[in-house]
Amino acid sequence: MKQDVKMPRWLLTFLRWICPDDLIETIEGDVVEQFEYDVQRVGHPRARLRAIIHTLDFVRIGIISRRNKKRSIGPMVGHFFKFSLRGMKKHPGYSFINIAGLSVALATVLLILVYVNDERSYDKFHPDADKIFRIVSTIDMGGQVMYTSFSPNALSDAVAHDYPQVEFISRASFFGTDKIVATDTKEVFAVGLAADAAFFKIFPYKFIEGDAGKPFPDNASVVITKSLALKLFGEATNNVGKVFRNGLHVSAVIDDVPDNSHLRFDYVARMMDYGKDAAVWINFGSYHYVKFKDPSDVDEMSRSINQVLLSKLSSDPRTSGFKGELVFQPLTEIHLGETTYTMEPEGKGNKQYVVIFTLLAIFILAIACINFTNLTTVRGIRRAKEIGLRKTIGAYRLQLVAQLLGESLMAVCIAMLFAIVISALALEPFNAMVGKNLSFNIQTFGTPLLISLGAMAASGLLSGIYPAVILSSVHPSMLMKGAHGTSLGGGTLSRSLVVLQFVFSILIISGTLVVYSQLRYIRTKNLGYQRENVIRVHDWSKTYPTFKSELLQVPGIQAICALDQNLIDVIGGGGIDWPGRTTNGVPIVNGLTVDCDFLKTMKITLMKGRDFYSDAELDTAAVIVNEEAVKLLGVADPLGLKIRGITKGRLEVVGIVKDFHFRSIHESVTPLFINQRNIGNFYTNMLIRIEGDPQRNIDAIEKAWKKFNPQKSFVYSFLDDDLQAMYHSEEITEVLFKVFAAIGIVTACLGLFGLSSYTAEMKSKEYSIRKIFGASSSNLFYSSTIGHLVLVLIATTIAMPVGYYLADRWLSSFAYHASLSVWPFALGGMMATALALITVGSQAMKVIVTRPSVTLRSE
Amino acid sequence: MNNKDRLGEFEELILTIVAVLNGDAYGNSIVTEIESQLGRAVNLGGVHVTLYRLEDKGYIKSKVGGATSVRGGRRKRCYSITGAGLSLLKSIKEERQHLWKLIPQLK
Repeated sequence: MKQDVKMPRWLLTFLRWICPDDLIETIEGDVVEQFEYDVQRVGHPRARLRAIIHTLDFVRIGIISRRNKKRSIGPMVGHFFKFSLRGMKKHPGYSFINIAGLSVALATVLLILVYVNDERSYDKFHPDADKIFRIVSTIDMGGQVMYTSFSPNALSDAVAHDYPQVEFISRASFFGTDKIVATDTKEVFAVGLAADAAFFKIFPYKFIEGDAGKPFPDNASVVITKSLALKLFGEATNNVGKVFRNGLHVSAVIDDVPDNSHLRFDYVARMMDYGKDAAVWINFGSYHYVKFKDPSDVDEMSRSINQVLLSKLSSDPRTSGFKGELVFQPLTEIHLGETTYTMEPEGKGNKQYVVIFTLLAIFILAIACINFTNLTTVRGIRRAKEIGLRKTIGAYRLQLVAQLLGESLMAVCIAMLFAIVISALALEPFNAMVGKNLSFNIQTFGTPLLISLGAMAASGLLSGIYPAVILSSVHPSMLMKGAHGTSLGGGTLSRSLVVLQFVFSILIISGTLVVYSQLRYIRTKNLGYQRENVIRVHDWSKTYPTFKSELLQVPGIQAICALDQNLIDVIGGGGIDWPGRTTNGVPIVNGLTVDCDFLKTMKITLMKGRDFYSDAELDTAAVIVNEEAVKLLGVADPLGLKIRGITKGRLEVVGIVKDFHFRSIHESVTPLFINQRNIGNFYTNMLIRIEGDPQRNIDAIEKAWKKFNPQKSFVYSFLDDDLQAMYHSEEITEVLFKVFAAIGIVTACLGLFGLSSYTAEMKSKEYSIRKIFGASSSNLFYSSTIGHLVLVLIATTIAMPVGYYLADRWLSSFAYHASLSVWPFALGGMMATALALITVGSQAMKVIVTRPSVTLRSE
Repeated sequence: MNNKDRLGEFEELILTIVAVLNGDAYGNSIVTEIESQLGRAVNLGGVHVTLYRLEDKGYIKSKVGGATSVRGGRRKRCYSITGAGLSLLKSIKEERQHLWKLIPQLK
């Protein structure tokens, strides 16, 4: 009868659904037993009802919660990690190559992104940064266009009166960088700015002390930054009212200017109002910053102000024919702007380098990702048997893909952790190299970390997808048999990826060589004067003639001259006019004021005419011009030509000198007019040519300096060091290129090493059999390396024209550059080939020295 | 005896019955034993949950026993009391006895 009285099936199904797997059997047993017992006691229908009640009674938290606890998810995750780690442990070499390559590459990418991010963040910290503009000028000098970040002196009054759409306008001008600020007890170097009170409305720096509404209560007021206050007075508070030695007194203390500001200063003094003579439209004398109420007014305002400029200038006969315009440059575009403006504050960024670095970061990342793909494939194939077995047991394809992808993602995660550690450790040297002050915190590293995390996840997935899909698609019997032919591993895809890798590596290597050759060109180029053994004193001595004659008594001192500007960065100048002028309007030229020994000190070649007379009183009207100026003047014999402009008086051309470089080599030499003056305080620095032991000479100069200028400190540098500092960004590029090149080629070779060792292993039996049949060592070497070397050669062929094109574009940004030959590219290709040969060759050697019996015995 | 070791009334009952049945305690036998000894009807589900809880606490242990045809070939999980369970029962009894002695009406 027992067969008739059965538990309803659905009750058992329901029980199975709610109960934990490990308990279900005994629970079911108990329920069934109870049911059978009830059937005998109370009959079938009531027993059935009771069974339902009993079953439903198992819907308890105490039962159901047990179900999830011990569900298979736990063991599966544990199993996954166990297998991943086992896989890594089994092939420590591969795991190392894989993870180390990726970590270094990711760390590099991270640092570069931090750098690029910082470059792009300039001036964005200001609230309303989008409403702030700088007015810059483009001046057509008759054929040549001059870009200057200065704008006409008359601008600030005109804008303040006639343009209500501008909320604030402020002039600003540097006192000259690295001037000394002194109190009675302390002397420090500080960068000072002269500006109007509105400056602090446009750039709302936080006032720690003092009145933000009235930063300059009188003409001697000065606003200083917190760090200058600390340096000068030793405390950040209670500084208002303290005085400098030159009579200025502190009216307010503001927060420090962030590093990512294009305009950096330690103090701001009040800019004096212009006199009638100075506040004119033709005098491009200072920066002008404006803040708009609504930035959409910019275009209209720009049109209107340019009309005013042209009408003012053409109404004056001296300036009529002026061609040029004022441009409203958005604040946030100043740092990485493509146009190089003269008078730009120090530390302007270079968009080109930002682009180059981004490109390099992408190359490195690509090389590492390709490695990752190829090595994951190889490792996957080595585990073909494991995968075959899994498939046979009944693993779903999705499970296999998840396992392989998960493993590659895990490797990426480990690599990312290492990358963070590496980049944190490398930050200090990196900072020193690029001259920045980046710190390891969430602000600087947040975004780059997110970007690289994203890139990482993407690359992990992309690198994992190929092997995962390929391997999981192959029939298990194939995998189990170990039929892992070339169709699986060294397929077309992974071969083309290797080619791509080497294209990138060769590009980076040849890039390094090109940058190096250009830097060497800069370092050794004849600038038109002798740069060696010249000491530049960054200030001008009191009673200069006496100072000079006394110093010339010192045996090592050959010559001294004083200048009104830094010789390596001459920016001053003005408009000139002369009889017989054919240019459109008055051209604006560069002017340099020196004393009579300039040509002698700098050893500049005089081509025609005479040098300055040593008695400046007799020679105030003399001007010496360069060859470019002669071209501009367009007169057959410019000697004796009368020129109006530059200084107020009339000038006469007395000599012509060979062109020399008085600005960065990025720019061409422009017309230059040199005149002499003996009004002492006109000069700002002195150049001293020395001979013999530099230290002894420096000591002698310092002694004389102290004697004549007990109040001022002695600051000097070597001219060739200054020149080198000028090409700092090129040097950074060179160093970074070198590091990149090393990382790139090593990563690429690591990848090749992994691949070639894999092929060597796959083909070990083939080579052993060849050996038995009498193949010579060279024969084997050839056949085991040629496959990979061909790839590198293909890469060289592709990389050379691409690299040539890119290098050509970079070099053409210099007005003077090294000639571009095929050598860097040939050398890059050769280096890559040689390194590849060593990598692949080491594997081939292993094949050659292995005795055939070792590989063949196993079957 | 700290708070963690306190048992509910039902838990104490089940623990005692497991000790009584001495190795032959499983879902149905416990239900039947309670019914026959105390005349109290209990639910199978409740018994199971309590057994699992007691096992988690370490007072009883289980062994999956042989299948019988009565249960449709399914094995049963038989419970027996552990040392910890026994000493807990003892301490409960001593506690009660101590309190009993303090009831004046019973003297």
